[in-house]
Amino acid sequence: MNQEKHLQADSLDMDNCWNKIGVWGQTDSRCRRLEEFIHCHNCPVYSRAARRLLDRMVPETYVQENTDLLAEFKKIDISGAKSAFVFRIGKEWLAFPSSIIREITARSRIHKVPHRNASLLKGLVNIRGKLEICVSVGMIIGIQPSCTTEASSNHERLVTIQKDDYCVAFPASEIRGVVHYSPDDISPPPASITGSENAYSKGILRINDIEIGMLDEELFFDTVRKGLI
Amino acid sequence: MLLLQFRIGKELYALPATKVVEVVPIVNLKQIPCTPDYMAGVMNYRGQPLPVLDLSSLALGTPSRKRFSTRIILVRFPWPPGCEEEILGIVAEGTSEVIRSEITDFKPCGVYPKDAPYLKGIKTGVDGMVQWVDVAHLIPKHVCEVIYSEEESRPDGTAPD
Repeated sequence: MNQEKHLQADSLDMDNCWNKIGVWGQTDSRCRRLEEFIHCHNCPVYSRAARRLLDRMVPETYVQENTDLLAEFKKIDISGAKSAFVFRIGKEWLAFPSSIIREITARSRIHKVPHRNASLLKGLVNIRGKLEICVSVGMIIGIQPSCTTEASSNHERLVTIQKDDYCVAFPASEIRGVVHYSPDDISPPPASITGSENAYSKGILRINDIEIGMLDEELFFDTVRKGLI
Repeated sequence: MLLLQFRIGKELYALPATKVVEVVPIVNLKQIPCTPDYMAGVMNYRGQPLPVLDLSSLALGTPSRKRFSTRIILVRFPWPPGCEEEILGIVAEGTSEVIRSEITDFKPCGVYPKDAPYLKGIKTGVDGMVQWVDVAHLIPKHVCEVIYSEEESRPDGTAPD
């Protein structure tokens, strides 16, 4: 097994020093380079030899295979594709543009701020030693509070979003991850997001029978800024 | 700056990575008659025919060997001569490394063969000497005239209006 791992040097007419004076060598003499590189894997002589494996002649099938591959048009057209970060608040699936997502962390304790009873402010959270404002997305966009105060589950995460140096965190009931979509897939916001104010929704994205409300991040941050003054 | 390193024969050469569009494995080419040996042919690059030149043929007169490390470097090249840059394929052996160095590392070597105007300064180093290849001068002018005839450039051969 070990023997197979080493480069087979014989066929390529190269000095297989790693099998002679290197770490796989059976003799007592040791290569001086080992003092610096510790293991042959780190040695430029070894990596150069590995690169020489590419100097083998190619089989004809390889050339034909690549000819066919390169002749094909590129199928994936990613121009215009957008990406959104999907999460759940209560019963509603919502999404922010992926670009504003800074970090997803485990749900941690939210420190209440005294004398602040603005309903959108939940408190402060400690994210990697830095205090961030924690808000309630449900409150801001108007999802019924009964949905947002469900019993905490294993799926709960803390999402930190950032726009122009302004950072804010919010707890999400569940994270679905990043989805890619074309702007054409977005349909205008119908009344299907029950109880939410359509103003925050830029449209509805339907993926695998889940309707995702695409949130307007500009408006969201505006509301947070104003609501916290 | 980044340079793509390759070999002609046993010697090392490099061209600036900014000129490179893509590096692809060797493919079967369609031969074009009445062209010099180093015009390796035309490749089908995602539905677009691209002229491909064999560097080994151009410099040494022997075609590149079909190894895994022999690759087609797609570079931007002024084509037709004097016009805007188009993509040209270059078959080069030993194309398996990118090196980082500055243009000032390449010193004039004092030998500039007339038939190889693309060969420029040389960088010396522990791994040997690397010579700069100027993509814009890959095909000598007099050869350009032989392989590119403007009147016949229309797809169906009809005269321009």
